[in-house]
Amino acid sequence: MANPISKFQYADPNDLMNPYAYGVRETYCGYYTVCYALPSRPSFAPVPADSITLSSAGVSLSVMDRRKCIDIVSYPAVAVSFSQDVTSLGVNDYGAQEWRWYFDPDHPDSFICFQLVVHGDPSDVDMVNQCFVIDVCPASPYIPAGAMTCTFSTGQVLSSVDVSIEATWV
Amino acid sequence: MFDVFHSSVGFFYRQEEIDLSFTLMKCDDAVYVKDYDIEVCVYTSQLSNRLWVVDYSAGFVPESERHISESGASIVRRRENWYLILTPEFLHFLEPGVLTFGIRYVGSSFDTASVIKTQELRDIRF
Repeated sequence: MANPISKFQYADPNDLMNPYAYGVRETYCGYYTVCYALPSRPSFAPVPADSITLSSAGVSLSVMDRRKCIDIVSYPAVAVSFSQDVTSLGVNDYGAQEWRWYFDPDHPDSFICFQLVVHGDPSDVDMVNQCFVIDVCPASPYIPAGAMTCTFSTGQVLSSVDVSIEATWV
Repeated sequence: MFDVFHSSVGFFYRQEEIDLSFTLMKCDDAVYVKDYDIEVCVYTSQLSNRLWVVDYSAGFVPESERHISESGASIVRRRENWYLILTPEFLHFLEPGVLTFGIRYVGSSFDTASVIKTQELRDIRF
């Protein structure tokens, strides 16, 4: 299915577009092949099987305990999906992918922040070390109870973590 | 159709190994290599020899339809791409011309083909 992008659209999730660029990009959605001629034979080190290891299967946050980190070791790097609507901010100033969960429309200044950071440079054959940080942001005086399941995927294997939010008022 | 060839290598020569990387795409996503069988028919003109290089390790092509790989060429599968290695032993049987690959991919839910014209295969580098 074609995926038209308006010439006035600023960006799509994958690449930035000049807001003044003229034209419409269409994604071809049949099968096609991309071929590169290489200057020499590549090394054929064994490729690991896809895997994901999480340091924890669940975390709980509250005002008094507002930041948690889950270590992820995977091959290759993971993509994240969420069980509830989140807003993607793309890559932030710290080089991490960032998403925000605005859990209460009446309190738009309070949200849960998710960040995925890759440590080191992912290679074709090495396991990837990542950190998934969950923050109560900013210093929210009010947090309703809530829950989110974050699912990590390599494309072939999945692993999930349950995030629970403890209701708190100040 | 939408097949793409990139090179910064210059001409190909029959007495030098040719190394190529291929990725099967659908929309903007790579299709995992283990999900399909690969058949490559190599030729340099309409009338030239047709040489086959195949990898049926995914097991979708029936035994009765399978080709046999010529010696001196191989397919190496990675996760999201695969390599085609053509040695001089294999290239010796191709006439000079535009090196072209007819590629067939067979998976559980698709049977699709690409034709990729690359660049000129020359006889001897002087």
